[in-house]
Amino acid sequence: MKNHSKANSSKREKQEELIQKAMHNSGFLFPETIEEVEEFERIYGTTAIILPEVLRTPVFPDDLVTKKPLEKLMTAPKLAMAAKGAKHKMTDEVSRQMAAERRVADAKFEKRSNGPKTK
Amino acid sequence: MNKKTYSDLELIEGLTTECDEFQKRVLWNEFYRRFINHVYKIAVNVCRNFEDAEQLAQDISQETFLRAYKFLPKFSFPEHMAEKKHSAFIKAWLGKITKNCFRTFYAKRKKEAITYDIELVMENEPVYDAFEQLYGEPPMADVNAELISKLNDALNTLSERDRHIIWIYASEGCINTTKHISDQALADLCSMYGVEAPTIRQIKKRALSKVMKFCFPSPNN
Repeated sequence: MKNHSKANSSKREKQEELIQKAMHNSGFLFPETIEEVEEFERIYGTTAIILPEVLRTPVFPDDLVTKKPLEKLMTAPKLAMAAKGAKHKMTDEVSRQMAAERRVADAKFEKRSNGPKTK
Repeated sequence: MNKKTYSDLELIEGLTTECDEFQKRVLWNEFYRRFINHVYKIAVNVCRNFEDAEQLAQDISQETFLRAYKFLPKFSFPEHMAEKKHSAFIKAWLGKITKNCFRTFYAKRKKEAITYDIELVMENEPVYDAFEQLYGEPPMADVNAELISKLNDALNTLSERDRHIIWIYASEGCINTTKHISDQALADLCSMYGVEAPTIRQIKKRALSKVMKFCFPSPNN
């Protein structure tokens, strides 16, 4: 009885080994050793395949590093934020202009939404 | 004008040593053109078992080359390796990177489209045949042709979740009942599918039994 179970277990182990090998041969797993690569190429060949459009042209990885020009760092939203932080330093003229623009914007919003803007 | 042909060794040496940017671009383009076919082929081959195979294969192929560029400075051939083995050695190295990219990308996708309802994942999955569409029926090794055919059929009967868990075990060389995957891989699977480690082991055990029954039908069945 004990021998029978031992034989079964050994048979199962052999079958599992076969499955693992078949997974490599069937292409279910990536070839990661020279032997696996050679086996893969023996089965699937080395003929060139039609690549999708995005893979046809090599991308030089250094080109992907974004270099932001100085002008982009000084864009309007950032300047507006800076202005908010330095409100007390703004001239009366700029403050008046800002208040006028705010009133126009609020009026437009009110007209669109048919109701006063809630703050 | 004749284009210079670089050996694999020259390519790697050129890319791993300091040289001017133009020269590096030339070498990189050559490296890419030489190995993109292999990388895409193995990516398609593995991804065909998973959802959105073509897009996944493209994404991991691109990522493989970005990572390869980053890791190239650490790459070297073993001493006394025959020159004719260089290409296979680079492909094996790229295969490892592609495997890691696949694991990262697949986990990321699962997390994005997260659904912890395990029953939902167990619903019938469509059969993904991107590979067949692109290249026709995959050819088979003479020795294991029948087993490979049965294995492919068996894997197709599994849900995508079960296939993925089996893939993780197999890619770590742990299909054998007595072997265990790394703690990290197990933790990733648990987080991805929202279950505890014993459940993952149970799923693997059941899925493997199903595959085994399919591939080695007992005469009593």
